[in-house]
Amino acid sequence: MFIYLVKRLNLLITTLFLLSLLSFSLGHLFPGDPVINFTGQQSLTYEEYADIRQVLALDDSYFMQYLAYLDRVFSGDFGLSFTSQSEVIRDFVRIFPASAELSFYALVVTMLVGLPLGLWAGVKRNSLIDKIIFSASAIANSIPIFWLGLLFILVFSLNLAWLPISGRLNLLYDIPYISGVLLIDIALSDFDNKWPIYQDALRHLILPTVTLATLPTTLLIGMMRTNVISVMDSQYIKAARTKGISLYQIVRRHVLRNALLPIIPQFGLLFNTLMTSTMITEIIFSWPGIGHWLLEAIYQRDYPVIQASLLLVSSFMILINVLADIIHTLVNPLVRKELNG
Amino acid sequence: MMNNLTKLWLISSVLTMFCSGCEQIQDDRLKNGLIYCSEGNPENFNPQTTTSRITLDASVHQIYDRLIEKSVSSDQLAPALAESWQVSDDGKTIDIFLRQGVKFHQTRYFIPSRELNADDVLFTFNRWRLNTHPFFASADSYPHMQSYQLELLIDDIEKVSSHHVRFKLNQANTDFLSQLATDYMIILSAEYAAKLDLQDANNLLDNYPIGTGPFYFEDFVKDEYIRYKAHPDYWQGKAKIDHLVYDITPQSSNRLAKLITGECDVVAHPVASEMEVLQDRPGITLQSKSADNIAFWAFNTLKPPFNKSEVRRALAKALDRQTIYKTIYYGMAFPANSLLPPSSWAYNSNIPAINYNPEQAKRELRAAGIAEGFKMQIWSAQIEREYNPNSLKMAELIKANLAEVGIAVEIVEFEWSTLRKKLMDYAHDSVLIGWTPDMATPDNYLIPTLSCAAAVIGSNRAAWCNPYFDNLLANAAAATDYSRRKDNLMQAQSLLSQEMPVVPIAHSLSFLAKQDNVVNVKFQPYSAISFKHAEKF
Repeated sequence: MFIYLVKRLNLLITTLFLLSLLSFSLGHLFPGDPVINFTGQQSLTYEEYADIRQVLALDDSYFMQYLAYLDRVFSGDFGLSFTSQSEVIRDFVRIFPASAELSFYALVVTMLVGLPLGLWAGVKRNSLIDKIIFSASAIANSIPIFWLGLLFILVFSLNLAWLPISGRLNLLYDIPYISGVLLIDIALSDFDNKWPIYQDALRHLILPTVTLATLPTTLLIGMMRTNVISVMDSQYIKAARTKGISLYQIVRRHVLRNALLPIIPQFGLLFNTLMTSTMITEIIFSWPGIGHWLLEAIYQRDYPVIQASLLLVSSFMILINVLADIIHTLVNPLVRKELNG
Repeated sequence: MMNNLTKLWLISSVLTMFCSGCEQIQDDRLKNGLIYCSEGNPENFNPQTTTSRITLDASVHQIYDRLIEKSVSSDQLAPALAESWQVSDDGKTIDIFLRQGVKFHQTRYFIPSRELNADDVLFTFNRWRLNTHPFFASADSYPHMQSYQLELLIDDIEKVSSHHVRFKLNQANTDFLSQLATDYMIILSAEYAAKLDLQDANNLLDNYPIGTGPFYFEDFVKDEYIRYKAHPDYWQGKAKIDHLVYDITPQSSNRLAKLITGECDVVAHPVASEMEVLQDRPGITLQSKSADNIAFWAFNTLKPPFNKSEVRRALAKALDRQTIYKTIYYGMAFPANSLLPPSSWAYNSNIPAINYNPEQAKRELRAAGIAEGFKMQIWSAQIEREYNPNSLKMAELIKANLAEVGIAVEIVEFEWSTLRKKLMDYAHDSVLIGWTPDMATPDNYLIPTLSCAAAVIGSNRAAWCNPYFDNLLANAAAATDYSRRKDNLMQAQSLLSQEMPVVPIAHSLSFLAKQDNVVNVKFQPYSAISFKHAEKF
């Protein structure tokens, strides 16, 4: 077990090291002066410039510069944004909850829809309902997400005029920024009649959440269905059935649990799909999150922001992946046995 | 199993519940507020520091007032913060009498303790006029004033009494009062500035504005929104709408969609290709503004080979402008030969038209030493401007045109405020940009765009400085009789046509689209947008 953890952590650290190396070299590879690219400070006096050169260790070897860079990264100093002249890390912390909120709702929808449907399809294998679920998820899986998003906009917003197409909330509702998670912030705000605000927020949530949840849901249905089928085929289920236990009891007691276990490590994968899709969804629905932020930074040639978001987002994704792996090992007795074997 | 079925049922019922709420509840907060979908990020909130229309739209008529306003007919001047004024016989002394009881904004970052007085006027003007002023250095430049060299025109500004200010000019200038009515001559608060100076936070003056206008600034989040609230003690009476929000939406198709779904009450610059969709749509009105602007293609004349006028003229001939009118402007623009539109009284109709002639262009380019396969860059903005609905597409058309004469073009696109910053360094080969005038006077097309003073501060996109041209403009400004003035301006236009530092492309009609229930949005030539009198039913 210990060796396994060390191996996983080793993978984590190696990847993070390579990422930081890439991010560091971007500071030199981007056009312009590394001093400006690293700090984002554009109007410097001569003395300030010389001081910063010292701090960045730009006159030393690349190795020393890299160490200085790591030092800054660990203290959360990613420089200033070129365009807003505010600290990149503060912008990131401000914007990240919006992305996390959207991803979270999409994940909830994915699980609420994907798991039962996958289970249903697996239990009723080769029946009509299985075929319907399976083909529907195959179709949904093959639709590119940006096309789906635009289709939803066309149908539900432009033609039916049911739902808004952009943002998180009607901008006339001036909800103060507290946690960054909108539904919580509405609860914390001191408006008297909150129901219309919640309603407005939910109306804004529907299209992005559904768009974002579609792809992971189909993946989850597929995984769940395969797992359920393989569990249903196993000897102990057959034994249970011959004992005369009802299908409902079998599914509830044995199948569900055993089919869920192999899915946990896949959550890392699911999460990666979700994160990348979040970025696209944010751009389609002008959702003010990380994807939107990164895209604008690219348009505006805001190098410190590109550099920082690359490092932060990818580190975050790798961390989640490794965590999912470790949790899987901890909860799955089979894998644990193999390791301790 | 039942368990899961129940869950499924629950989810679907929750989803239906969401949708039953799809009909928006009418809410006072929505009725008393207005959302304007603007096209980009302002650089800051002080029009003194820029000529960018986006910054002007976000600040001039919302946050500030001027001493003098242009009245609706835009020929006449109307009192604003100045209740009355008096010009001496020699035209060199101007006495301004300020209005009593004008209150500044009270915001979360500043609480004013006094009303508007002469100190505020002195501070506002001295801030850009005197380079020793503590706030002079907090902005990079003051493009409008510096290109007109107003700091040289004004000899002194004197506080006669608390509500009486005297401007002393070095020479008589007939346009000075119209200057005071331009978008750039807003009045700042001296008390606020003094507070910032104490805190050593001078750079906040332009980013956290305090003015006397109908709305006060509340919040700006880059790429997302700007929020304003109605100034409760506005001297002309509180605005009809309580909340004003600018929803920053750079993509024009997004703005159109948001107008249709009702997420925007007013949208900036619907592009010509979308007009048909809008014209037939019930509930949406279009407002138009005469074609007073000019789109041009500017060459960086500091960089060889663009320093040679024969190269610039040859490149102009390679341009197929007819295709541009059809595909970019959809017929909503007039061809341009000069920077001045044909409607201007000083327009020179004798300027030879620029004709599309790739063969001749090719010969002239070879003669000027431009070999086959020469590489150049065209910079372009990603957003729509009044004068150019799609500069990226225009850049692509020009790229195809230039490929015919053996020039390889690389198109470099930038976000608007980044583009403006980069242009100041004169690192470009050429750029597709334009100009929207702030004053009805013809020299406003020429001085801020192509004078030497504009080249020095970086707002002359061609970096072109021709003393003879400046001389003609100076003569025109000094001339008291109409025909001499016109004569000088006509000669200046001929000179431009020979030298071709910029290739004029088009004068475009500009539009504003809004919901029918929004009225009285002021969208007029020579001025930024104003929501002062806007109402929503």
